[in-house]
Amino acid sequence: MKKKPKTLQGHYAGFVTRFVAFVIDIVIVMTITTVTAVVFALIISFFGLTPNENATSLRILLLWLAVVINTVLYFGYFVFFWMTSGQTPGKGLMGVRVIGVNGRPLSFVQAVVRLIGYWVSALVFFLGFIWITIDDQRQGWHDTMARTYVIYSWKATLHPEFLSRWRQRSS
Amino acid sequence: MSEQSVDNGDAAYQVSEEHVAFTTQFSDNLEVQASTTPEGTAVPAEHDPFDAFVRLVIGTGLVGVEELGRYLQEWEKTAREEEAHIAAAQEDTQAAVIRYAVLGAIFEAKDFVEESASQLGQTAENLGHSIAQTAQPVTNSRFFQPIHKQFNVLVKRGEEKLTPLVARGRREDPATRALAREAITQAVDEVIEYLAENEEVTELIQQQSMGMATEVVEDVRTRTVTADTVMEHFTRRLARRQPREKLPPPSPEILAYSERLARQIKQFSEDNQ
Repeated sequence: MKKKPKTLQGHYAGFVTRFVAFVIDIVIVMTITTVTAVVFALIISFFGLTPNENATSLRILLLWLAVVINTVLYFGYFVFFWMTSGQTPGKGLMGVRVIGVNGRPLSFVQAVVRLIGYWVSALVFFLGFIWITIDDQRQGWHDTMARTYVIYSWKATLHPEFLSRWRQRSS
Repeated sequence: MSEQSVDNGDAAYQVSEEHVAFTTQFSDNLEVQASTTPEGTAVPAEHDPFDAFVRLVIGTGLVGVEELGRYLQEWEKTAREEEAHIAAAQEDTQAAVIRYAVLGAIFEAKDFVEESASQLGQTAENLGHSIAQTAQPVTNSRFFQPIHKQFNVLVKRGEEKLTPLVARGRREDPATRALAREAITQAVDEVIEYLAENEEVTELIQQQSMGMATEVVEDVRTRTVTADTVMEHFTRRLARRQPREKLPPPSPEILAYSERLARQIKQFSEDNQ
């Protein structure tokens, strides 16, 4: 009987996969926020709310509303997906999942701490993210702060051709 | 395909953009076929299925031969370019040698026929010339003058018959081509429409597209998983850490959770199929 190839499903996910997933998520979030901003800009211009004494307060209110909505979208996007399925669309596409160190889905607090942790990780020349490549459990600073792991959620395998090419070059 | 109308008296004919080049000659042809009412306005000739069918057959033949010639020229050009980089076949098995011999014989025969036909033509021309020169005193004699006259009458009559035929051919050529092109374009459109409306075909295309997308995603994922390992190798070397032989295995709870999730997803996708 043919032996099944061993997969990395359930193993800790590495930096490159997570970075690609993050870029996809950022593109999605930026698209949503841009569309929202454009809609608000259209509303402002449609009602002729150019800076004058009467319109200024309403204009500022609308601008603030746009900022608040965009911030909520940014936070909501990550927190919602991490808490419900552990996968944002980007992570889902790349086949990785965020889970608690106890193997359970993230709580609201964990999700929020992890999102704040992103900023902490980026603070010192993104060292908190690069830490993923050094740490034994492939945890970034934000993972350590929120007590989370990121694992491969699919039957991950190494690309034999890519790997042998790299080995040939490095030897 | 955009269309534009060509007015011919009261009637407007819809012709596609590709046929605009033919318009002048085509409309001439239509004028010939159009009958004139007592009021003097031209109306298009009545539809004659046999006439249209003949035009379609001739037009398809003309367009087909023209297109085939064009494609043959292109294919030959590409083949010649590739031929420069290909060495002669080296297979030495008995079957291969027989195959090469038959191929060689076919091409030799083709060359022989071409050469012979050319030589035969040349010989016939020379022979005709010699016979004409030898027989000139006899053919130019008074005895042959009535025959000459009859011959000239025959030639004139032939020319009279031939001229309208040529004129008709000139008129019909663009019309038949236009009809054939229209028929081909419409047939292609209808086939595409049929394929687009056929549920089995669309399902097959969708399945193939999905399969292709899944394959691409899996390929990207495997490459990034490998890149994870490669990048770690470099950063660990920079950080003066031992290169990792194997990844540390996750805890049993995490593995169990991951497997349970994978089972659930598989079940979900099977239920939804």
